[in-house]
Parts: sequence; structure tokens; C-alpha cells
Amino acid sequence: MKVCPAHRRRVLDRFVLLVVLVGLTFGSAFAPASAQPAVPPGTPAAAPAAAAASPAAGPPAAADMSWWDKKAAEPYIYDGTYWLPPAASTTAQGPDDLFIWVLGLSAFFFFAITGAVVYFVIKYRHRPGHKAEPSPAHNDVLEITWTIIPTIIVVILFVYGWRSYISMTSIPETRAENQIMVTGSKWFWTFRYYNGVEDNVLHVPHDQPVKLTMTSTDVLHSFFIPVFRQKQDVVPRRFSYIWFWPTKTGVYRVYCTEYCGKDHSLMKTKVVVHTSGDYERYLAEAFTRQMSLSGAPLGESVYKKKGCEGCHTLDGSVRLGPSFKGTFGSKITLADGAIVTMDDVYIRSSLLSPQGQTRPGFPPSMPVIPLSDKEIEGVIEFIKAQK
Amino acid sequence: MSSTEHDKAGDGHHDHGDDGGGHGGHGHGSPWIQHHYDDAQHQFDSGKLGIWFFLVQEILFFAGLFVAYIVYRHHHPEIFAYASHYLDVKWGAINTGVLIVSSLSAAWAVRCAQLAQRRGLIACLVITIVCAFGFLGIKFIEYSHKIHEGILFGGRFDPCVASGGDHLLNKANRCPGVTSSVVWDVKAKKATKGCLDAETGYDWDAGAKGIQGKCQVAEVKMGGRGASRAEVGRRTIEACAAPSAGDGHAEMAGHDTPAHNTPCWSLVVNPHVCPKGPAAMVHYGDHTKRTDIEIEATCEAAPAPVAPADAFAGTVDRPGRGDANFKAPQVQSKHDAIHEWSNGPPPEHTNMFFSIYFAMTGLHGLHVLFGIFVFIWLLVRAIKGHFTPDYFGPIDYAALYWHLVDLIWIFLFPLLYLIH
Amino acid sequence: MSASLDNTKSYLEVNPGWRNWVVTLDHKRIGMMYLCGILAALMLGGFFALLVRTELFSPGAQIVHQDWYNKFFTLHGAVMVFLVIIPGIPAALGNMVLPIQLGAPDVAFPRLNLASFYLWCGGATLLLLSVALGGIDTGWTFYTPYSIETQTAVLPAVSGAFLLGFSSIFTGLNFLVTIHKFRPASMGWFQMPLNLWALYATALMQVLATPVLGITLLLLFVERFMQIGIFDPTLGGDPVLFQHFFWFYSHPAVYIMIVPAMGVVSEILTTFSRKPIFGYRFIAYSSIALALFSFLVWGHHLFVSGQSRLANMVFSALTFSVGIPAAIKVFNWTATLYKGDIRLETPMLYVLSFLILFTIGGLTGIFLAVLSIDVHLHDTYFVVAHFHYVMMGSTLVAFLGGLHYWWPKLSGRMYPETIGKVCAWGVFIGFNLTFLPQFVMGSRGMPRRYWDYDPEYTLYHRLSTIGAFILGMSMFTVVCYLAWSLKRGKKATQNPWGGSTLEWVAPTPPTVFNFPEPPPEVELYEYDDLHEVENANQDGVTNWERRPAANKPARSSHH
Repeated sequence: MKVCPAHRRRVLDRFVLLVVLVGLTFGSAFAPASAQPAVPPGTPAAAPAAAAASPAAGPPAAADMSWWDKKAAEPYIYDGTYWLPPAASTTAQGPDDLFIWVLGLSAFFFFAITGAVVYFVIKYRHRPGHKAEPSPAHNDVLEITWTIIPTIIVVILFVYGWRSYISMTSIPETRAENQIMVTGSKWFWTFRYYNGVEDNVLHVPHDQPVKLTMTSTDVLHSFFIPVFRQKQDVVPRRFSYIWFWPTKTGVYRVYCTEYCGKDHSLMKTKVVVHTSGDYERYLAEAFTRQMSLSGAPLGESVYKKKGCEGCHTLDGSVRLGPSFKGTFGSKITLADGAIVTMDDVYIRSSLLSPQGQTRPGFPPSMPVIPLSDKEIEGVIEFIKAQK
Repeated sequence: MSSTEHDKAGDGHHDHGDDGGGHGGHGHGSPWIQHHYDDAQHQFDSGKLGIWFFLVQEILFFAGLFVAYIVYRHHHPEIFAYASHYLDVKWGAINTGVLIVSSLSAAWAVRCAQLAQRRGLIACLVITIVCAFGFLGIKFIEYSHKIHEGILFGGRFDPCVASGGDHLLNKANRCPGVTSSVVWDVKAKKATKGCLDAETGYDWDAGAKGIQGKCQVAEVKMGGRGASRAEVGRRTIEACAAPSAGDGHAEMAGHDTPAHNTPCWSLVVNPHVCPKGPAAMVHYGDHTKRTDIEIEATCEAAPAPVAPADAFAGTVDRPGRGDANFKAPQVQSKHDAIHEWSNGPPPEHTNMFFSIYFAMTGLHGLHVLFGIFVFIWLLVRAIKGHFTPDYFGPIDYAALYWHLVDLIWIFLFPLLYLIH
Repeated sequence: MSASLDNTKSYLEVNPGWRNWVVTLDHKRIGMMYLCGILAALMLGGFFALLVRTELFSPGAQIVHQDWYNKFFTLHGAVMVFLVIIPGIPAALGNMVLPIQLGAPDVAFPRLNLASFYLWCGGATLLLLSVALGGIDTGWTFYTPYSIETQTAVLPAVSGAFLLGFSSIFTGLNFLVTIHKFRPASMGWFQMPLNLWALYATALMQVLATPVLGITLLLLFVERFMQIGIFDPTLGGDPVLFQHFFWFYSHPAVYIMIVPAMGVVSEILTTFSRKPIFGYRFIAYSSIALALFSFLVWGHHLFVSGQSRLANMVFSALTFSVGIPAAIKVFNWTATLYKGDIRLETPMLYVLSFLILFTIGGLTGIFLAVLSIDVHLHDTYFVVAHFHYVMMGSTLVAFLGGLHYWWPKLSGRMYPETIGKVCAWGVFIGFNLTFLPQFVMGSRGMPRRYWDYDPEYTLYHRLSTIGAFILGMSMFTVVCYLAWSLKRGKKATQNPWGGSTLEWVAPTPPTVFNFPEPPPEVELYEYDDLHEVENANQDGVTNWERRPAANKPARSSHH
């Protein structure tokens, strides 16, 4: 049976109506819910809220911010329908439609069953003089009916679910620029583009297929972009893939959804969907910028991109590792009792072989982070600058 | 687990002292029939059904390991082909025989109990127990050999020999009879010195044999401990055996066991220790562990081979035109290929085979050990004369359990020992 | 000594004193001890749940930082799953009721029964030990490789769960043999109360699935203990294999939780509707069908973990098939109400809650079975809400229903009815307020196990937290008044609800061997010859008495 899209839309609209009904019923307990998200997405009112809530949204010192960082600092778009976040990819339509269908179906069965239960309870409740009436204890026709009808429904749902799943996981041809390496580490994401640009924010072009090849350096993570309706676990020593075809420009949320330890809930970033030209401009300019960096600024960018922030602060407070503030040149005691000066040599060997340089009071949890010589020099300069 | 198996296997057993809730034997004739059963048959049938469910549970318990075996073997057949050569088929086969005999005697014990042959019952139980101890004894021999050679599971897999018998480079430099140039940093879990590629940068081909470079290898005797450790003497060591390499040329494989106290060196590889290249290892004829010796090795690349003027000059037995004796170059059979590389260094993650080997045989061994306790307990009761044709359930249940343990071994033996 | 046991006395009176209790082989006493332990664990797990919900009242740190939050939700999950819900109905209620419903003096292997209780105690102690050692932060699923490398107290928790697994296996084994071998001659398979069908299906799953958890946890234990490497990717192991093993057990475990709840619901529903259950055979068969299907669907926990598309397809199809027996049961229960004489006592209120909550739990399961929707909803609060509707809204609510239903029989005392009803409403309302908003925030993308969250979810989290406190207070009150009623409650009669199964023929509380004389044959779910006698005892509690039928003498014994 072929159903023209317009007709399907109309049917869907009816279901949306149903959904609203269900939403109101389900949501009667939280009626103010519909008032809260009523702030239209992207309006100035929503912007400061989003920005204030997410400290990673961008540092206030905007002077030397690149245009793409400024763009990434724009407020998130998260308001979709009552049930779902906005849909911003071509493959979102399938699961979204199915969601609404299943919701309608569920609403039907829920109200039918609950209605019957409530009706029976009221009608046949015990009261003086009321007795159970004789009624058959089984009815094979009825049993077979209510076995077969759910069976047919679930077969249909399975087929549609399977079909849309296939389209969500069949990766089309993508040009080299749109193939991005994703690395999940505790607790940040790194995106590496075909020209070597590395970033902690995912930049993708509008209206083109994008393929992500993902792996993890430590434990399981899971890469989730709600607006694209895509999610895939990220497994150490394995590659997994997802793809999407963004249909709306804007800034959206990215989450880690596989529990990965302490800062699991902070392991989120954003995806910026650029117009096609902007994306190429980003790749080119970020490349130039990355290449031109050296010394302390390069060290700072390494510090931010490689997740050093998670353990080493700049303000003197102690996390998993020692703070960098004012440490350069000081004498430190190592776990084996040796006293060394915190100098270029020490930092270099700590980066190359962290377990050989552990300090008492800090767990030996620093991983080996592959860095070029230039980057190591940059880190040393950066630590030097932390007076 | 053990206490409850005890409980079930000996369901008829009765300990009046702890019977607070109030179940005691009354009025069933046999003193071992619990009161809540209708009669002896009811108790026996219940126990039998119980032990069957228990065995199903046991099978599923082992099933996890069998699935792990299938998954890893499917993903890494080469590891299994390589590593199974470390196992000694002889011991495995003997153990299979031992278990089959014990299973037979366990079955015979049930028959004896049914026929009220008390002495036969005791004899069968003793045979079963002896065989079970024999099995564990042989396992002990196998395990201790592997512990000795560093053929262990997971991160502890660090063998001294390749599965074919050749000595291998070892992380901690602790294999008796050999000492390598590698200095292993335990904290950093990597070699900090002695891996030839990193220091000399010389090009090395793991596949090729023959001269690949020129090495100077010296044995350095160290005195003192800790920080005061210092050199007290050194001597240069010749390369091993093969006559053409006696001049200090680096060569892969193909050495004979050196004579006692006249060490020689050869190049060996272990990707777990030196990921990119070989290290020099000195072989001694004895199997003594040396703690006061360090090996220093420096190598330089062999001169690039110069192409001979006559393109055919190097080839031997070049067939002439129309030569009737022309032989096609021999194609290496799959078996030969496997045999050849099974003498080399272990493939990556060979430890996984031993993780599975130790998990499976270890868990099985625990079951054997537990079976021994059960049978000893049954033996004591048999000597006391508890079992009658009316009441022999515990013997029957224990025998069933023992057959399952036997059966699992019958699967483990080919799966682990008889690969290729 | 045993010969001196007086089978005319209640099991509570014979051999009193804790020394006799701790070595008892009486299934009712073991069940009672289980019940006390489980209720204590329920309070503990609930306490952790409230800590989690309090922390989530607003974004950012409220009471604790993320390391402690991670421990709270892990402990909440581990305690609730392993200590409360899995043993809840089978080991506590089932232990007390199963032999009596069969007319048997005890379970088949009383000492195995006691051993399984002490295994439970051992497991609980080890779990508590892990709390004492600073807690565990892996999530109750112990996913590798995080569980291998975390510095928290994984070893005691894992060995605790291992022991609890074997406790569960031995309970199941015991029940299987008891049902097979201790049915009276007059009770064929299809004359068994549905509770026994459900317990049978549960026991099958316990015996067949739990060993796989055992070996998985054993491997994880050895992994942490001596780096065996089977699940450690750095040694060449496969962390995803752990998930397969884990869910091969833990999916059936969900059915180990819900299927016995369905048995309890069937019993209560027919008693309080005063008419036979509708579609007895379909309900019985669907219990077995659920038990079988439960082994084939574990892969739906791995839809986004890199499983092949073919595997996903097969597991999705099989997952849908689970919905059918579940739907059959719901329809049959609803039909049972038709033309009944429905009495809204507390157990019935819980069962009606169960019907509604289980319907929501089941229907939302369909969203997750649809592959493409699951990709979006996987590991979000939608999943959290879904499984709480099934595991808590259904299983725990049915447990509470069963507890109230059999409480008079086993304790000999009535619980206070009015406050019971109030609490039943409190549980229903609190539960829905807690978990309905979680569906909405989940489908909007809120990931689970988050200590911090984005501001757009605040409202839903707040509603959820408020609901959780209503729920917690209601359940706490339930435990309090049940404890109170042990001494102060009205004395119960032999058959206060008018149940038709054998436990209502036994004295209240039952004697040591349950029945002072062999129990009579009763017709299953036959209510016509029962009639209500109000103020039947000195405390004014109702009793239902069997009219002497023409062909058989009245066997009910009073005291």
C-alpha cells in the first residue's frame, strides 16, 4: 500500500493531537511543564539562560575568539515538540514518526485498559446486596483475538522500526572533509578533521552527509546527539561509526550516554552545524591557526583540548593531579623519595612517561598523551607562565 | 556454593542437633528419611530431580566460559593454534583416562550401594577418590610448569620459551639460563633500555633469517646492591652456534644449546617487551638464574647487499634448458607454515588463550576438589554403614555430579590441548 | 526432639527465641527472616534513591559532588536489584506461601532453603561492606572496563552479588523440586494456583540464567584480583562480551522480578473480585512463555553498543514477542474484574495500581523495542522511567499487595486497613509523580546517570524529586505499621479475605507443618461455597467460612 506523504502528514497530525491529549493527561501532574519551555528557541531571553548554565559555552574574553568559537558560543537550540527535541537530520523523520505512532497506540491501549479497569471497579464494586454474577471463566475466541491483534501490531511496528533503523545506519558516500575522527576520553571528546585540525567542539556542514569514526582511549563512552537522533557506543580498541545529514544550522547538544566514571555528566560538548561554505572556511582557518600556534598559546590549547583541565587546575586548587599555579622551578618530592626540580626536563619526562614520575598524594592515573615535540615545548612554556 | 551442594548431595543426612524449626525423622522406617517426605522413594526422587536441576545450573555456569572460548577462538584462531603447543597432550590424555576410570568407579559405587555390597562400595569410593587426587596431582604438575615458565594469564603472561621450545625475551629478565639486554621498568611497564631498534635505529626484518647486522655483546658482572651497584668485570660473548655468524653478526633464530658455562648470544623477539625489534639474549647451558649479570649489546646495520653483476649468479641449481630434473619450487603447506611460525614469538594477546585455559581448567579443578570432599564424606558414611538399598541417594547424586565433572573435562581436553 | 514438636501449635509459638529462629528449617520462619532482611534493604535502597533525587533537585551540586552521586545511584541500583526485588517475591512471600498452597509440610530441601537465606545474608553483608569501604561507583551493571579500573570497592560488591546469585539459584531449585514432587495427588498442573505457575516459571529462570551471572562476576572478580584479561581491552579482552554475559542473566532477571509479581496479582485479583480468574490456562502458559522468551532478548540492551545490524534485527523482533504474553495477561486480568464483586481492600488497591502501572511499563517497552526509536531513547531517562515502571511500579507494588494479602495469615495479625489504603494511594500517586516526568525528559534527550543536567530539564527533575519523597514516605509508613501490627494489630481470622486456595484452609498462623491434619481438596478459585461472617473473632475481624458441601465434610479447623 502506498500512502502519499501529504496523507501521511494528515494522519500524523491527528496523532499529534492525540499526543497532546496524552501529554495533557500524563502531564496533568506537572501542568506548569507546558509553560516553562514556552520560551521560543533562540530568542534573546533564552540565550543568557543557556549561556549562563553552561560554563563551557565560551570564555567571556571574546577579543581573541575566533569567529567559529563565537558561533559555537551561541545559545543551544533544544526546544522541539512536547515529547521530542527538534529534529535536525534527514534520518530523524523515521524514528520521530514511529514515536508518534507508538505513542498514539500506547495511548489507545492505555485508555482502553485503564478505562475498562475503572469502569469495572465502579460498576461491580462491592456494596450491600451486590454479588458476583456468573460469567464464563474463559473464552477462547476472545483470547485468540487479543493474542492475534497485538501480534499483528508488533509485527508492523517491528518492520517499520527495522526499516528506519536501516536508513539510520546505512552510511552513504561522504567526502573526505566530512569524515571526522572522534575520540572519547575521560571526560572529553576530541574531534579530528581530515586536515589534522583538532577541536573539542564538533563542527559539521549543513545539508551534507557526515561520517564519524569513533574510538575511546579508556573506558566505554557513548556518543549521543539528540537532535540528529543518533547514538552509538564508543569502545576502546575498536572503531564504531555513525553518520547524519544535518538539515538545520545551529548549535546543539552532544552528550556521553554510557556511564564512564566521575565526570560522566560533564562529558558533553556541542555540535555546530555551519552553512556549507562556513564549514570549509572553518577547516582552513582552524588549520592555519593550529599551525601558527607555538609556545605558551599552543600549550594552552593543548591544555584545553587534551583534557588536562580535568585534573590540573590553574588556580592552585588540587584535583586528581597537582595544580600548575606557581609550581615551575619549585622542588618537589617524588613517590620514591627523590627530590627534583620542577623544570623543563621534569615536565617533558612526565608527559612521555607519567608513571615513572608519580608524586605522593596523587593517584598514578595520568595517561600517556601522545604529543609532538612542539606541543611539549608549548606545554612547558604554558606551565612556566602560570605564576 | 560448597555448603549447599553438601546439603543437597546429602539430602538424607540428618543432623538433629541444629533442628530448631522442627523437622525430624519420625515413622518412616529408615533413620535417614526426613519427615516431610512421604516415603524413601519420595525422598530419593526429589533428591534426584534436585541434583538434575543442579547439574543444569552447573552446565550453564560453565557455558559462560565455553562461549568466551568460542568468541575468542573465532576472533583469534592464530592465538589458539600457537598457544595450544604450550600444553602437553600427554598429561591431558592421562588425565582424561584417570577421570574416566574414576567415573566408572563412581557408577559402580552406586550399583554396590543398591546391592548392599558394603565392601565393594567402599572400594569403589576409594578408587574414585584416589583417581581424583591423581587428576589434581597431574594438574599441579602442569600448573607448576607453567608458573615456572611464566606461561600465565592476562597481564602475567610472560613466557621464557616459545611454544616450539625456543627461548624468548622476557620482561623481567628472570628466566633461568638466559639473560637479555633489556632493562624493564616495572612502574612504567615498558623497556627502558636494550631494545635494539630504539637505540640503534637499525632496520630489522622479523621474517628474514640470516645476518642482519653486526653486534657486540658483553656480559657485565655487577657487584653491590641498590645504588652502590657497580660493574666489577666484563667479557665479550660470541654469537651462538651457526658457523657463519661466529664473527659477531646478528642473526635470527637457529642456535644450538650452548655448552655449560660458555655462553653465547642470539637475537630474539617478543613484541610484548620490545614492540618494534629484537633484543640480544645470552644463553647459558645450565638452568641457573643469574642476578648479578647485565647484558650490554650494541648493533649496527649490516652493509646493504650489493646486487651481483650476474643476475643469476646467486642462485644455485638453476635448471638448464630442458632439464629433466627441474623441480617446481616447493610450496609450503599450511601445516608447515603453522609449524614454522609457531616456533617464533607469540602473536599479540597470546595471554588470552591462557586466560581462558586457566579459567576453564581452574574452575574445573575446583569442582574436582569439591568432589573429593563429597566422596570422602560419603566414604566415611559408607564405612559407618549408612547406605542401604533403601537409602543410597547421596551416592547416586554424587556420582551424577562426578559424571558431569568428567564430561566437562572430556570437552575441555580437545578444545584446549588438541588444536591442530 | 522432633517427635516432640507439636503440630497443633502455630509456627510462631513453637520453639520461640532467636536461637531457634536462626537455625530453623521451617519455610515460614525462613520466609519471615527473608522478609525482615528485604524490608531493611528496601529502606536502605530507598534512602539512596532519595539521596539521588535530592541531589537532582536542581542542576549542579546540591548535597554532594559527582563522585558521591555516582556511588549513590550505584548502591541504590545494586541494593534494590540484588537484595530487594529479585528475592522479594520468590524468597520472602514465595517461601512462606508456596508449600502451604501445595498442601505440603515444607519445601523439598529445608536445609538448602536455610543455606540460601544465609547466602543472601552473606551477599548483603558484602554489599554493605562495600558501602563501608567507601562505596562503589560502577553502576549496578558493573560494566567493564570501568569496573576493572575504578578505585572503589568493587571486589566486595561483586562477590556479594555472586553469593546472592547462588542464593537465588538454590531458592529456585528448591521451588522447582517442591512443585514437581509435593503436589497432592488431587492437584494436577492445571489445578495449581496461578501463583505457583508464576513461581515455577520464575524458578526455571533462576536456575537457568543466574549461573551465567555467577561466572561473569567470577571472571570480573578474577579480573580485578589478578588481571585475567577476559574483559580487559588492554590485554586483548572484550569489554562488550561482558555486556552480553551480564544481560544474558540480567534480562531474565527482570522477568525473575516481574513474573512472580504476576502470580501474586492473579491470586489477589480473583479473591477480591470473588470470581474465578479469567483465562486460567492463558495466564499460566503466558508465564512459561515469558520465562522462555526472557532468554532470547538480552541483545536489546546492546542495540547501540556496536552489535551487528542482523543481531539487532533478530533481538528487536524477539523483544516484541515478549509483549504478547504480557498483553494476554493484562487483558485476562481486566476481564476477571468483569461482573465480579470487587472489594477495594488494600491488597486490591495495590493490584489495581499494578494493572495501570504495568500497562504503562509494558507499553513504553514497545518504544524501546522499535530499533530506530531505541537509538534515540537508549540510556536516557525514558529507559529509567520504563524499567522503574516494570521493576518498581509493577513488581514492588505487587510485592506490597502480596505482603498485605498474606500478612494476616503469616503474622496472625491484621494491619490497620485505613492507613493501609492511604499508603497505597500514596505509593500510586508518588510513583507516578516520580516517573511520568522522567519519560518526558528522557525522550527530550536527558541521559541517565547524570549528576549535573542542562537547565531545560529542571522542572521535570523537581517534580520527580517531590514524587520520590511522597513515595518514600508512603513506603516507610507501610513498613512502620506492619511492624506495629505484629504486636498491636487485631487478631486475624483463618480466612479474612475469602481466599479459595489452600493457605486459607490452614490455621492462622499455620502450624509447624502447616496443616494439623491432611488438607482437604479444594476447588481452585471457587467462591460460591464461601460465605462472609462478620465479627468472627473477639477483635471483630471478618472470616469467610466454607459451607459444608453435600459430598464432603467441612475440614476447616478453628482455634
